[in-house]
Amino acid sequence: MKKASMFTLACGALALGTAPQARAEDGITIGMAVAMSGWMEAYDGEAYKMAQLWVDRQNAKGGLLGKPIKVISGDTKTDRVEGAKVGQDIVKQGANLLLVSADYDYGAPAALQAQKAGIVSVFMGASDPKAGVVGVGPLSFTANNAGQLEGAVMADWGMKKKGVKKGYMLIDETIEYNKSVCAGYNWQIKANKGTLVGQDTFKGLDPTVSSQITRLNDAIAKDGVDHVMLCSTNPGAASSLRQLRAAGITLPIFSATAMDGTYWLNSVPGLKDFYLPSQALAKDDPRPAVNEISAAFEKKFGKPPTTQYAYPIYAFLDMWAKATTDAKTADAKPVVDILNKMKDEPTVLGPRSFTPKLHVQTAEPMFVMSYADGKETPVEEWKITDTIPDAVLYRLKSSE
Amino acid sequence: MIGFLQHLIDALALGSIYALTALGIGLLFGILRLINFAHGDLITVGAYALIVPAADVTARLMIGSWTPAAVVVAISMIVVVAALLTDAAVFRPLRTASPPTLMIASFAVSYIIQNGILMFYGARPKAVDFWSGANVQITIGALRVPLLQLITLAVTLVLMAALTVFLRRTPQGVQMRAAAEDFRMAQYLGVRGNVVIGLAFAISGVLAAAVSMLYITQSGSLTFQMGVPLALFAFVAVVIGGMGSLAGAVAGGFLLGFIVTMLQAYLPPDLRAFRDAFAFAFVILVLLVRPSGLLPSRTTVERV
Repeated sequence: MKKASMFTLACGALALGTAPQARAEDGITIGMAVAMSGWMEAYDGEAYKMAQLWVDRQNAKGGLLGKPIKVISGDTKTDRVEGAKVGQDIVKQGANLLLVSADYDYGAPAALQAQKAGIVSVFMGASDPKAGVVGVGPLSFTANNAGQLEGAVMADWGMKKKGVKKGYMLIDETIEYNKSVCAGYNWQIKANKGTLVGQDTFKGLDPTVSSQITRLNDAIAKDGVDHVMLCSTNPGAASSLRQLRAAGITLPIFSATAMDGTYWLNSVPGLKDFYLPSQALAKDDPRPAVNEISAAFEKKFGKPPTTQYAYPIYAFLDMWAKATTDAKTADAKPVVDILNKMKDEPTVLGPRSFTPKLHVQTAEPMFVMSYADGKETPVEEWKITDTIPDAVLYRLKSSE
Repeated sequence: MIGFLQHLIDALALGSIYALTALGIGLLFGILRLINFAHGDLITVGAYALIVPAADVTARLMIGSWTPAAVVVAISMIVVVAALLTDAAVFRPLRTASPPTLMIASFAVSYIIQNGILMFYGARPKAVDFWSGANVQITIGALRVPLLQLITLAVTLVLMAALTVFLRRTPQGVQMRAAAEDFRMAQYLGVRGNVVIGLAFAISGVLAAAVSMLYITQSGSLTFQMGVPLALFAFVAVVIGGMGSLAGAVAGGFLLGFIVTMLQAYLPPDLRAFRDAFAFAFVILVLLVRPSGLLPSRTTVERV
């Protein structure tokens, strides 16, 4: 009996798996397989809301291809297995585009379902170049820039505008993003003929970084380190920054976009001479179009975005809509062909490019932000001039 | 030489935090044979109790903004209540269960506390400006001694001494040790088991609260999983020191702090990422030489 029921179940599963996909022919559907609960919610939540705002505004303009845009969303619960299930479910309901979690590891299971079904997918904020062609397939994109670009922007701007020459990297080993940022920084500082005096590692939840501070102090005294590149994310970033400043290290400290926002500033009272790159400001962005989106976001959801991570998906959806309009269809292949040819395509966040091999931004201009008096203010926009090599983007051993 | 002395100070700094956490875990193990992995989450509870309970992105201090004495009392009380609640809700019904069952139950408690914090406070790490005044350096010649580390060290030693005096000199302490030796026999002789165990949980709560406040002064950051690595390292410290021995737990904590700091300081850059793996390998080595730890407890040895 048990065997028989298992057999029936297996047949049923097979039948479900091979059922022809029910495409929603009467409109355009955007699927969103994102974390609405669990810890990823803090990172997916605002980009998910931004995507909803984009759909509202696009529908107000008449939708896409003359049809209204419909949204189907599902909660991946910060769980990779759940992500695959939700992704598959949304794909079956006939999505034309699937938005997935803002992280390569957590978004990939859903994105793979879209790739298998021949549907375009986009990571809302992943900074890993694998979140795209290499890690998922030719139909997958990320709305964000590569982590390496953030490190490279800081090295390039720091050397050319702050006049720093001798760097020191502090790498939080907790997540891959941190290592990518420092890989980009390391490459750029060497390309600009600067010196990387030394480096050290720590883990975000280490109770103290005093031993790392001892080594850094030594490098400052002996080798004249003139700035520190802190490749970390919160809580490790704020915690180590607090300890570095408390230990009397007053050198300029550079960091990456993950530290964008001011919500963590209480950890480091009186912080100054701290810089990081960002794509957009939730408050007082130099570009009126961005401020207008922030205002619309605040009106719809009650408060403005906390960090810049809400914005990249808006620019990507604009690009996707343009490609869909030009292709006169939402089918994956023609849309992706057009996206792949976009070079310095103007978006609300500035120029964005894709190539058949790279579905992540590796050269976009970024704002360098400065922290002082409890505020984050833009210093200037900066664009690196060299092309980040593949060996750095994929962190191959030869690049180190 | 100065370099090594500085590393030694750094090691004491890390070791004292581990030792203080290990003291809480070691105490419950001694009395109850409970390896309480939720001890780390009690530290998290103490840390989150400092701020206004809200899922807002920017945290605001509530209890944390009171006078230091009031903060210490309030946070200790909150964590003690949390510790007693875990006992009443989970460990008391499992009083006769085997140590592995208790340990699994402590994982469940840990998971529940973490998810509870996630629900009420959100997942984004929080930042607080807590007791930043204590976060300064004292320079002695070329040596850098963080004031907070001295405070942590002093708190660890004082709490360990107080606990030792309590266990040896007070009737409740003697009862607690009797219960640790033979719980059933102690009950026959009139020791009220649940009172003794409740007291042990309360003391472990005070110890966890002390770690919360010191840790937050150091890091200024809160996250729902912040206690987990502390509990893991402290558990290892308890194992090195000798399960069930309080002095052993503290010694283990300092030794572990020493090993981790020295590995961080002297490993070549490529290997530094594997610091913890080396540290645990060293722990295995220690246990091969001294299977029951550095300062084994008499009662544990007898049981084995």
